[in-house]
Amino acid sequence: MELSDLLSYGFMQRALIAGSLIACACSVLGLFLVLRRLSLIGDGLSHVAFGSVALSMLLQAHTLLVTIPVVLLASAGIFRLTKKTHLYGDAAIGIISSCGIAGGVLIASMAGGFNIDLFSYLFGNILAVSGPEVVISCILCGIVLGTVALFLRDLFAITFDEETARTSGVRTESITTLLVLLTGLTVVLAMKVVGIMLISALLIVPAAAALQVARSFQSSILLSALFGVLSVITGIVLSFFLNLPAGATIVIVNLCVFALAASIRLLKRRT
Amino acid sequence: MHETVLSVRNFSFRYAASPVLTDITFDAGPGDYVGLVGPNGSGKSTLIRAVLGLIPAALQNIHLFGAPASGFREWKRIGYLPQRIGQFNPQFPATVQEIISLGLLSTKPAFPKRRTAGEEEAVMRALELLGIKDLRRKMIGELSGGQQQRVFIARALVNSPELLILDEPTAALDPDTRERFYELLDSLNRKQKTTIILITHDIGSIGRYANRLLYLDKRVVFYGGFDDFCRSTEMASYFGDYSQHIICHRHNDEGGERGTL
Repeated sequence: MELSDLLSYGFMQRALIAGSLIACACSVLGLFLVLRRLSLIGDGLSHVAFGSVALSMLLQAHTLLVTIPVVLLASAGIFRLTKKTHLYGDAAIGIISSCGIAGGVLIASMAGGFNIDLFSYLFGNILAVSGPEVVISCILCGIVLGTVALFLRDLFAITFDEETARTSGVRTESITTLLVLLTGLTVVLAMKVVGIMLISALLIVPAAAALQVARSFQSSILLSALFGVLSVITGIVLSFFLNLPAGATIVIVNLCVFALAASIRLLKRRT
Repeated sequence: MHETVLSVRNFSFRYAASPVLTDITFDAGPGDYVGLVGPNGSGKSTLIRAVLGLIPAALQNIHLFGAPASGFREWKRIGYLPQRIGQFNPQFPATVQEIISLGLLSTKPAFPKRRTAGEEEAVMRALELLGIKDLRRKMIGELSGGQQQRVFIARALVNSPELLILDEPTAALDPDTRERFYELLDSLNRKQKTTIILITHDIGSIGRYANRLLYLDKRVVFYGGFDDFCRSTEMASYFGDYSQHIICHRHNDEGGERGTL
């Protein structure tokens, strides 16, 4: 089968469009999270997403209708917990994350155990994305990327040095809340691409790869987005030809990109 | 009559049960150059962080440019170089030019903060002022400690602030660069009437350049002009003759008081 034949399939077109957009949102936000040492927030929120998917199944409601508000609340919860209890971010993420997993397992058992649907969210199924889901993903990714573009300089300032950003008139708390809420929204979108188990890879790995080779803040954002999108496209195509699970293939491609970027950095240092 | 740039009245602050600052009162007017000195743990940085609203303190006794510090929004009038800047992530992917342009955020509306035509010009001026024009495309993590400090000083200066607050800015600088830096501050203070508050342990240089001395040790031990400080037998007994001599010797070499008291 040729690559052009592959693109003629409707499910493949939908997967590539939704996957690329979601990867772009994940990798741009991921850069700020990695630099602010909040890398594992994606992991924590994905566990909350697991609980809320189980809840949506128990309530027989649309997954996004339940998952988006629950994950956004959890995102705000992590932020409030660090502020109110003076906990480090990783501890707050751990608390919210275990709440999500424990809640999800309890709800799933109340609903009569795990079923195939729940497993599809755990490991992702980008090839099964529907037309309306592509539209929703496009709108939500547009919101995430548009908001980042509008507040880019504020995000840059608080990521580099929060204290000096405050004395430059940046509303640091509002911008941090915005970042965490956008991350929550992106995590919900990314569930479909790589699955709950692998979301943090989509957030962290392209950003980590970009940081190996970037020569400015602007270029690190562009490279992170480029690496994320390329990994998703390559991963989807490879998974189709090699008959592999798409989510795991995307993550492995991401890791290969990171290894390549890290090697380039090492080579540059030696010369 | 000129508005007071910074006014602190009977300000006290404590961490948990421990008093850090007690009953602090002082003013700084336009063109004042205040040397803020004191031993480690005397509350110098805490005082500055309180003034800038960076620690949760009751700010009703602090005024910036005549407005209560609690609701202060005119950040473009202030340039600030914190002491802890050395703790930034050395792998941060930003160029010198990008870092300095962050100092211009205060000159922009709350939203959206668009890049403007004059921005590059202001950044270039700051780069030239600090003698780091050649480094503008370098990544911040690739620079030496002294070069990084000059970048952060440039960021504090780029918006041409009326009040410049510097927390131990010369700690990472070599003697030549430190001397040039003091001359730069002196020039800003004299020509542009920039009010400067400089936290430092370099008490010798303070006597040479500043026109006021604020000695802090959880309370105000001394605040006033150098002539008063040098004549004070109370200060001689507090500091010991040697410390007082170091401050006053450099001050007297420069021909006595420069500014108004």
